[in-house]
Amino acid sequence: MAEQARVYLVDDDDDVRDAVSFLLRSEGLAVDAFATPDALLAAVAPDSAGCLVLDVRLPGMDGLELQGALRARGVHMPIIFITGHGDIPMAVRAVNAGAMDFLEKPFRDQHLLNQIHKALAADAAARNEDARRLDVERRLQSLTPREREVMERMLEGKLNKVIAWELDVSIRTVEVHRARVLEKLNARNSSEMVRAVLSTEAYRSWLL
Amino acid sequence: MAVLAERMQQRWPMRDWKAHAGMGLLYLLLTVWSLDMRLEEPPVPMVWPATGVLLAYVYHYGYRLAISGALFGVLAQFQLGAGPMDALVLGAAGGAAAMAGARLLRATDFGPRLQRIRDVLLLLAVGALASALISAVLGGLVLAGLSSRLPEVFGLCLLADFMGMLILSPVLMTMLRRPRGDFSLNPEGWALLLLAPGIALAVYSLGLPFMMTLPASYALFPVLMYAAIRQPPWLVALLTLLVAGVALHCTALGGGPFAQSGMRHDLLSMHAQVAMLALTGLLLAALRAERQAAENAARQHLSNLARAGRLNAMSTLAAGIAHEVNQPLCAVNSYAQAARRMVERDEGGQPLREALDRIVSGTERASDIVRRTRGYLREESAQHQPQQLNALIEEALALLGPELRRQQVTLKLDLAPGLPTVLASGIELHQVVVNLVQNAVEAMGVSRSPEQRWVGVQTRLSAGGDAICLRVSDNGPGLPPGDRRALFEPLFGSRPQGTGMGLCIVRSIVDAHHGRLEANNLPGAGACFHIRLPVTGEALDG
Repeated sequence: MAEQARVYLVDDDDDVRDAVSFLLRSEGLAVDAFATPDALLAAVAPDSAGCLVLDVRLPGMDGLELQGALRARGVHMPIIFITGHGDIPMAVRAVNAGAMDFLEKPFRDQHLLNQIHKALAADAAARNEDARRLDVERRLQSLTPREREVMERMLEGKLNKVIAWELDVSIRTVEVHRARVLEKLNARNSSEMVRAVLSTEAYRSWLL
Repeated sequence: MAVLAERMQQRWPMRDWKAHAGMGLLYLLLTVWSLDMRLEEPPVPMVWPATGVLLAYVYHYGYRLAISGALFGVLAQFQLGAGPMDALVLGAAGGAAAMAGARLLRATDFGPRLQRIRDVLLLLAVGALASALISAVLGGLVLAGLSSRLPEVFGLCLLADFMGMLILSPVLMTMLRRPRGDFSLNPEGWALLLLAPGIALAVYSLGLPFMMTLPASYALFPVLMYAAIRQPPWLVALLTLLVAGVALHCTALGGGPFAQSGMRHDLLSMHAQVAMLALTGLLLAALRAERQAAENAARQHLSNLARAGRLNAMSTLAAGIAHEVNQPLCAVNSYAQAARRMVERDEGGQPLREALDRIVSGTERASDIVRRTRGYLREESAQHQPQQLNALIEEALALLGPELRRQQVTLKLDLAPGLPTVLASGIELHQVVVNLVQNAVEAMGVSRSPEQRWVGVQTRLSAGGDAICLRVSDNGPGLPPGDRRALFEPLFGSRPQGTGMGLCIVRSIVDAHHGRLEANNLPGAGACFHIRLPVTGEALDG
């Protein structure tokens, strides 16, 4: 894990920002609070871990625009929008665009904390998933061309003897390659290997 | 028994005994006074005030006064030497005349305060004329019978009755209408009360040469006109009565410029002048009262309009204000919930104290906003007091803050420090700022990108130091070409959602503050409104 998970809070109202930070800190969460979207954008990177709590009405940029700017910079942390009076339509659009939830001010503390914990868990899970995928991609690089040919035919669900016939090798040779593929990709069986490989960028299209 | 006695007292004719007594006293005194103006032949006084007294009392207190009036009439005539039958008829004639006049006046929308031209004309042309006709017909019949002298006697009676009415009923009508004892006068009123009869005495009783007294008698006109313009109608009527009383009495005794060739001729000339004097005063006072009523109505109308404008502005600002109140509520809510968690966990000390402090400051912030909003909407008379214009502007802008942020408009605030105060109504100047800034924001709405949207608010002391200049400018499309004055006409508005009253209200308020309002376009930017407000002349502060 690159960084410790934090809650990134953006609200232009000093009182609200202080209050929400206070609440979250008193619950033992690490909080970074910002008054403007620009300050937030300067502070986060794709490997920042945690979640975002954003006011939908911000100076210079509305919540939707900020959401787009974050995605464009490769920041995929879950977003919880908080909204004042009358911003519901914008919040709905934000959720449609991928935000996790929106809360109307003033909100119940338990609800906010639940959503934040859910968001942190989702972010951690996504980061684990990413780490696994990167691991598989690294392992794929270590396959020889022949092993890759065998592996791709395994993805297509072909039997050993069909692979042997197609590659014009003996069934015994295919079995050796197959064992090497499973070993290199750290899979116990072929179905586990298939699932891992199909999760990578290179083979995602094979799903179709 | 006590209840019965009380009931008896309330029964006619015991009720209003003071009114009956007052009327009787006036009746008898004035009748005695009028005897000095009685002709040798026919024995008719040239002024008969009794009918005027009766008309006013009967109109004010009701018809039962006519009966005691008739009794006083009988008594008076009897004492004056009329036969019992004649006295009876003459007394009844006075009562009937007053009753008829009062009845007619009540059938119209006559107002006894004589505050409209219409009231004066109704009193003289309907009430007084009807009353005088009845009294004169019966009086003429009694005095002359069906002889050849009847027309002459009838004419003299009619004239005497009408003159009595003209000088007495207005003053009694207006004074009876006053709340009890409310005859307070300013020094100018007292001065007039001494001056007008004083002039009359000088002209009519000092025996000065005719060459001086005739022109001098006209000096009473400007005095009475001045009173009519500056003083309440009852005082004008009272001055008329005093002047007329002095003039008529002295003329009858042979003094003054009109005493030349016998009482009948002299008093006829005198009547003409008295009538003109009375009419001038009464009509001018009514005219002044009418104008004042119209001005009050216009002011009330403007104040209603301005309040409607504030409500309208507030409806636009409501979303922003709701947001503004919600923010501190949200903060308070979070601190309170954090504090509750701390208490549940038995934590305390500095963090808990901080949470509680922030709860207090948050509720103060919210109630500030509520107070400001309510202040803007309250319906109070727009009292003018020395005000700090800059402070008023900042209050109004605080109200507009959420709307400016929502529209992503930058505020360029440039307030000169240490400005003198202006004599103003705070609530009205708030409205001027709110209206102008709102106009500016709406003008820029679509035509500029957020970076280009700004509203400038500037205050400066004028070059001469006698006025404060307030400028509200924007970066919108500017004012349309054409007559700038049309901008401030009602319903000029070019915005579909506007009421068209915004700038009209601004102009009315600036006018009411003796200020000047101009509008033009800034080169390279949008519209600019200049307001010049005179300073109070109080010391600079800061």
